[in-house]
Parts: sequence; structure tokens; C-alpha cells
Amino acid sequence: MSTQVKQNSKVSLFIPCLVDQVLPEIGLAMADLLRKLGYEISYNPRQTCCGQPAFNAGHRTEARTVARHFLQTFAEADYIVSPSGSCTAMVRNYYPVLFAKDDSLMTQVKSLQKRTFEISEFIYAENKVDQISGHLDLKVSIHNSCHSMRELGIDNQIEEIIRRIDGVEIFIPQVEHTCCGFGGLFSYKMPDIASAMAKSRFEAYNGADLDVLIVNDPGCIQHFRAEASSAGFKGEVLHLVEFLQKAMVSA
Amino acid sequence: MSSRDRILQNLQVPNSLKKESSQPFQDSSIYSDYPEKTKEELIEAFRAHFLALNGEFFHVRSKEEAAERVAELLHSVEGNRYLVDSNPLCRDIFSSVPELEKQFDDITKTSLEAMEFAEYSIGLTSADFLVARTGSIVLRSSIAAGRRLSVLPPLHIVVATVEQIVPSLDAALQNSEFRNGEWSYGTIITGPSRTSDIEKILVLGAHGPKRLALILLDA
Amino acid sequence: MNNYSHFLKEAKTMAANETHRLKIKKAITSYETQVAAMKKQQFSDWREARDVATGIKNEVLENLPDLLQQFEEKLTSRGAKVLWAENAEQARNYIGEIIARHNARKVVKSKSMTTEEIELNEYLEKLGIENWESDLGELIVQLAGEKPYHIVTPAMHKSKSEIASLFVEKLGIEYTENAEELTMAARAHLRKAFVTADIGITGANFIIADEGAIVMTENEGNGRLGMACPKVHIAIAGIEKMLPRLADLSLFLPLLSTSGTGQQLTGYNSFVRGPQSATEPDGPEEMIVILLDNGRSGIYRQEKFQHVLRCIRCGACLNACPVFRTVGGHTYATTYQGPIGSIITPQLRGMGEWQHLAHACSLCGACTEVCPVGIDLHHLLLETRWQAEQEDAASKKWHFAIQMWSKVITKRKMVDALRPLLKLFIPVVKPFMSANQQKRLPEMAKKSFAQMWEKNEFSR
Ligand code: SF4
Repeated sequence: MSTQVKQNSKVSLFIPCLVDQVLPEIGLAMADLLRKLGYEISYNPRQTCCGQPAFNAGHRTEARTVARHFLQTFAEADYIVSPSGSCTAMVRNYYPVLFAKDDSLMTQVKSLQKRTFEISEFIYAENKVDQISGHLDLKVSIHNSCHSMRELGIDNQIEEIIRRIDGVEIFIPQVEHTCCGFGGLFSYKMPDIASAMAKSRFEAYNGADLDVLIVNDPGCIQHFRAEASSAGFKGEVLHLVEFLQKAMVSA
Repeated sequence: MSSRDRILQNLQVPNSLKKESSQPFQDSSIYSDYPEKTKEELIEAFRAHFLALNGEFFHVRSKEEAAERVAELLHSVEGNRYLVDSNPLCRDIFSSVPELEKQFDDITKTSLEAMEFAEYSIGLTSADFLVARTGSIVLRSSIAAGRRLSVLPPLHIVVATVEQIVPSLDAALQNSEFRNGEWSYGTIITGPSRTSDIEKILVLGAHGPKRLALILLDA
Repeated sequence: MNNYSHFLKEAKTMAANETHRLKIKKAITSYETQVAAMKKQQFSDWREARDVATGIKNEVLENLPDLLQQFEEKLTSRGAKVLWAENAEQARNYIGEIIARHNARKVVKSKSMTTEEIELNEYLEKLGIENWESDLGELIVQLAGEKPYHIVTPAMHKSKSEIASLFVEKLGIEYTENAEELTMAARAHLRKAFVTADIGITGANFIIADEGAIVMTENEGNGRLGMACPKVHIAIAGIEKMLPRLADLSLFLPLLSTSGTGQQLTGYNSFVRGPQSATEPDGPEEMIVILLDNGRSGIYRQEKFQHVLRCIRCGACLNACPVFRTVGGHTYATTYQGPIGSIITPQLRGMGEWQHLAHACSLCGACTEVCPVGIDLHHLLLETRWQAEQEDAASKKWHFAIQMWSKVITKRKMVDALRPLLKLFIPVVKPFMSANQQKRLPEMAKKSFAQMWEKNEFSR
């Protein structure tokens, strides 16, 4: 992301529905992190969801309804930061698809595109990586979500952020990245395939004896946690911001 | 309306694809391993690729030496029926060793039924081009005396001169002399026949020649 | 059982099949290593090569009717025949007529997914024609009474020992797990077929407009033999296999082989531009090219989907797809498997029957990343889901649920009001779900983030 955010502007939290309803601690950890990095944060409770679940399942009429609500909610926000690569991609890459035929909304979408960030790319765009420090003696590995990687182009950012934490040993799998199997409603429609995919993905960390698997998308986290025990994965699955919260406290 | 016309009519729709400029590309701009131009470098690039593909490579200085290599190859196979096309280069090589020539049947002078053809253990042909970047041999039916000679016998021997080496495939495919003329079939041969259909294990000699030998003559 | 239930049932079995998973993992790992190395070895920038190829294929789509006519004119000027087939049946009938005209008894086929698409094997069997699959992988699945598992690697799912037992039973050889010995057994088995067959049938990887030629890519030499020995050569090609110029092959052949198998070039790339000419000693007396539409022009007419016709059938998207790796090729029950198959099958064979394939995808985008002609595969799967809904072919159950959801989710008050209900609701429905669905049921947090924020439950 080349867009530069002006220093210490106000950040509006973009809390995905899954975080709002199921994993609020991720939202709290992100707020905590942004605050530590010196931001004034705000949260508009009218927000609920970006519409991705409907969009991905092919229900574009409903997705448009939800997305329109989202556009209203964030009309005023300076910068919008989310703990999810796929929700960010929804706004940045898929809203233009949804509203392609609607000129007035397209203007709003275009402005939103420039203001919406996934948390790790935000830290990068803001040059805040150096301000992250902490200590944790743990062995970790990273799962960069598919949407974060392929839709947003987030690459080594997560790793470099984690490298700021002393004591952490990062395990890099020797196999190519594969999807964890979440895929939104996919994992509910085709649960057996989704489980087997998680199992294959966990295999990449076999033998590494990880303490923590660090992930940057709540959907993947939810899925990984559900599958960990049957896949024989012993470590914890944490969001990047949860991990940083731990590390920065114990520093 | 015929099916032809209906299909063509169905394809008459406005096209919204991004128009890319269709400049003819050049291999040299796309391939990082595009070989350098000197003759030695081209030969070396060809040799390295050809060997890596399990080809048998012989660089010879004279026709006599070429004939010697051919004679050795005859000894390396079972069976004693060998076929050759009648091309100037082969004739040239044979001219020094008439006994060698006698061991070969000239395909243009023998009309062979398929079953009989299958009994030959060597097919000897010339080539149109050798492609340095990929270690390939380019061959048309007009110079290889048809389609079967270069594929049915278990050992395919190719004789060629260093002049025939081109850096990359585009040079061969854009050559107008190559494209003109009466021929119905051409093939780019990259190594002996192979398969990896069983557990990705490489096996040579699936249906075509198990062995491919190249005798490269300094002109 | 409809196609969707069949898919789910097979997928479940395959997802639990550990032997299958490990076999495919091994094959694809070795594929990936070779592909990565080859991309690095020869391309300055693989993505740039991909973009050039994409441009050339766009040029093809822009001029397809003209190029097809140019191809026809050139090829027929050398004595070959071009037949146009609007659908599978017409293509089969053309072949039936040729067989009858030549009183042919024996056909030797080389690997061609297009012949699979028109179900030629079944047709030839009905006609009582001896039909020899000559590609090793195709022979293996033919002997096993199966369909190809993968468009490029038909027998990817068979282990050495399975092939060994198959060959013992069908070819009467001694049991051996040596890949070379097995290959030689197939070679011996097919030798006679090549030299005695009346007709050779091949596919075409490319058809070339300016040269009036078909191009066949293969490693084994069976295709070459099938085009060299029999007196008649029939090639069947989808109309989208077009390239404008012969020279385009110097990009497309390495691109196809790199993505397909990780080879710099496939062993044999043959171009045929007619039957035996007067000056040649051998070759088929008759050459017929069947140009197959079979739904392609329908795809061509759809703005969003047209570019999928750039596909060169390299198989890379199948190998990259985590769903393919899990469920295997046969589960799709289609000619073309994996991401590309899940896009074109609903288009070619009906949205209602096949739209479920578009949902067999987690939208990870691995396919799009590897496609050598830049097809936006995972986004087209999304488009297919939407199209299915517009055509009223999608699941009503899910649509209704999402409609309800969209009404609630746009109102914060309702979301929070329904939370306690949902918490009660989940334990009630849980017993009706499979174990696998149960473990995926989200456990609602005690309070939503919004509620926590409002109650000021953490320092701001
Ligand atoms: S869609 Fe792309 S990756 Fe898939 S088979 Fe076609 S060309 Fe290959």
C-alpha cells in the first residue's frame, strides 16, 4: 500500500461481524494496539457487517443492501482499520463490483477504498513498525490469509512486524501456502472438504512444535480453532493483534 | 444455414476485452536463458540441454568421423535393419564409407508396409534446425522422408551441421523458407520419447524412440 | 440422486481418504517443485510472459470468426477437410460417417479431452469399433474402466501397485511395480495397434490460423504414431484453441509445458497442415479437422465469461486448487475438473445441474495466481454463483436465510436484541447437524463488541 496516512489522524475501527459477535477480544486487542501506537480511536456501533458473507455466496442483492449500510456508517470516518484481510478486500476490491452501475455510490466507494486498511498494512503505511516492541519466548508461525495475500497483496509485512518482538522464533513452512479451508459459507456448505483442507494446512506446521499460529483474519482463526484438535495441532491460534497485545504487555 | 455459418454467426458479438497491442514478441525479450550469439555458445547451450534430456550427443569434425559414430551406433542396438532418408548430408557422410551405406535401406526406394516398418531398429534423418535454448530438433516431413521414419524405430539418429543451430524457437518458426514448400507435417523433438504417467517417475521410450542421438558436424 | 448430492457424498468419502490425499500430495509436490524451478530457469519474469500470452489470446477472441475462416481456408487448400460441429452429437456423427465410409474397424486415439467431452469412447463402443487409448495415462484409466482423473495427468490417482495389478489382469504381464517395466508393457501392448489401426484420432492443443495447422503436444510419441501410421487422421479441436501465428508457439509451447508439467518444452510438439503430400512417402491419405463449438460460442457471447476461452488446458489451476486436492478429479463428475471445470461446466452443460461446482471453492485465489493466460478464475466462480441466483438456479434455502440475515444485520438494535435468542437457538439445532458442522458452530461471545464498547469495558 503506497497510500500514506497523515500522522496521528483519527482511526475508526472496522469491526467485522464475526469479531463483533464471536471474537470481540480481537477487536479489543486491535483498539489497544492502535492506542499504544498513539492513535485516537473511534467506533461507530451502527456498523455490523460489510456484506461479504452474502456477496461471496452469490447473493448480490442482499450484499448490496448490507454494503449500502456500511457506506453510510463510515461516510464520515478518516481512516478505517480492520483486523480482517478479507473484509478489507471486500470493501476495496468487491464494492466496486457491487456498485459498478451506480455512479453516485461509486464515488463513495472510491473514497472509502483509499481510507480502508487491514491492520498490518496500516502499521506499514504509517511507518509504525519501529514503534512495536516487546518480548515473548515463543515459537510461532504465520498464516497470511488468502485474501490478505492475493487480494490485498500483503506479503512479508506480518513477519516483519512479528520480528520486532524479542525472543520470538518464527518457523517458516517449507511448503507452498495453501488455504485453511474457511471460505465463509463454503465451510458450512461443504464442511467435510473444509475440514480436510484445514488438516492439510496444519500439516505444514507438523513437527515444528509451535506455541502459537499467528493469523490475520478472524474467519481463518475461527476455522483453525475448530479444527485444531482433530488435526492434532497443540499450539494456540491467535490473531496478530492478540499476539502483539500479549507481547507488548509482557515487555 | 449450415453449422459452419451458425457457429460463425454466434461469434459475431461486440467484444469488450482489454485490447492489448499485438506486437509480435521476441523470444529474446521473454526468456532469461536466451543464449548468446557466438557459435560456440550456441553449440554449448544446445549440448547442455540435449544431454540433460538424455540425448546422445556427438560433436564431430569430419564426415569420416561422423560415419564412425554412425557405425558405432549400429552396434549398440539389437536387430540389423536400418533405414535412412536420402538427404545430401547423409549421402555425404556415407560417401566416405560405402559399406556403411549398404547396411541402410533407403526409405525413398523401399515401399514399406506398416508391419514391416516396425521391424527397423534405427531411423537416420537429417534436421531443419537445432534449437539451442531448449535442445530441440526441428524436423519437417519433407526432409525426414515422411512421418514414420523419425518415430517408429527405437533409435532415432539425427545428423546436422552447426550451421543449423538457431538460438530459440522463434527463429525457426519465423523462417519463411522453412514454412514454404510442400510438406504436411513438422515436429519439434525435445529428447527421446518419455512418460511420467506412473507416479511421476520418468521413463524413456514410451511409444516413440527410446534413444535419440545427434551427430553434429562442423561444416 | 442429483449432481449436487452426488458431489457432496463423493467429496465426503474422498475427504476422509487418507491414501488418496497422500498420493495426490506426493504427485503435486513433485509437480510444484519442477514448475517453480522451470519458471525461474527460463523466464525473465513469468508474469510478463503470462501477460504477453494473455494479450495474444485476447487478440484471438477479438478476431475469432476471421481466424477460424483463415484456418479453414489454409488447411483445406492442402487437401484436408474441415467440419464444423455445433454440438457433441454432431461431432460424433461426423466421426461415425467417416468410420462407415472407410469401413474402419480399429481406431487408435491419443490423449484428447475434447473427445472425452463428446463422449467418443462410449459412442465407438456402441458402434462396435475397436478403440485403443494410446497415451499411457489414458490407457490406464481405460483399462480400469474409469474416466480421466485430471485433464493433464489422467492417472494421477493411481499408484504403481494399482497399475501393476491392473496390468496383470488386463495385459497378462508378470506383476511388477517397476515403472519402466510397466511402461514397456504398455508399449508392447500398443505397438501393433498403431500399425494396424484404420483411423488415428487426436485432439489439438493449438490450431494456427496463418499456417492452417493443428498442433499436438505430447511426451510419449503415441500422438505422432497415430498421425503417421493410419490412413485417416481425424483431429478434433475446440474453436477456442486458436493462435494467430505459427511463431506464437515459441511462447505458448514453453508456457504450456512449464505450467502443465514443469518441462521447458514437451517432448514432441507436432504441427500438421494436411494429409500426405505428393512428395512424401507416407502419412494419412485423408485428414479431417472437426471444429467443435458445443457451448463455446455461448460463453463467447457473455461479456464476463468470454475471457475464460483463453484457457490452454494446462491443468495448473487443478494442481493449485486445495479443493481439487481434497476431493480428487472424479468427484467433479465432469470432463474438465478443478477451477476451470467448475466455471465452464455450468456454462456448457447447464447452470441448474452444475452450479453447485461454483460453490466448491473457498475463494482462495490460488488458481488465478498460477493461470498462464491470466484467467480470473476465482472471481469467475463468484460470478457463476451470482449468475445462478439470477437464473433462479441457486439454492433457495440459502438464499432465504441470507435474505432474513440481511434484514437483521443492517440494524444494530435488532442484532443485539437477537443475540440472546441465537444463543438459545444454537443448542437446539446442534443435535441435527453432522459432527463436522457442529464443531464449526460459532460460540457466541458473552457480549458483542458493540455492547462492550458501549459499557466502556476497556480503557479508551
Ligand atoms: S484456466 Fe488457466 S490454469 Fe486452468 S487449465 Fe486453463 S490455462 Fe491452465
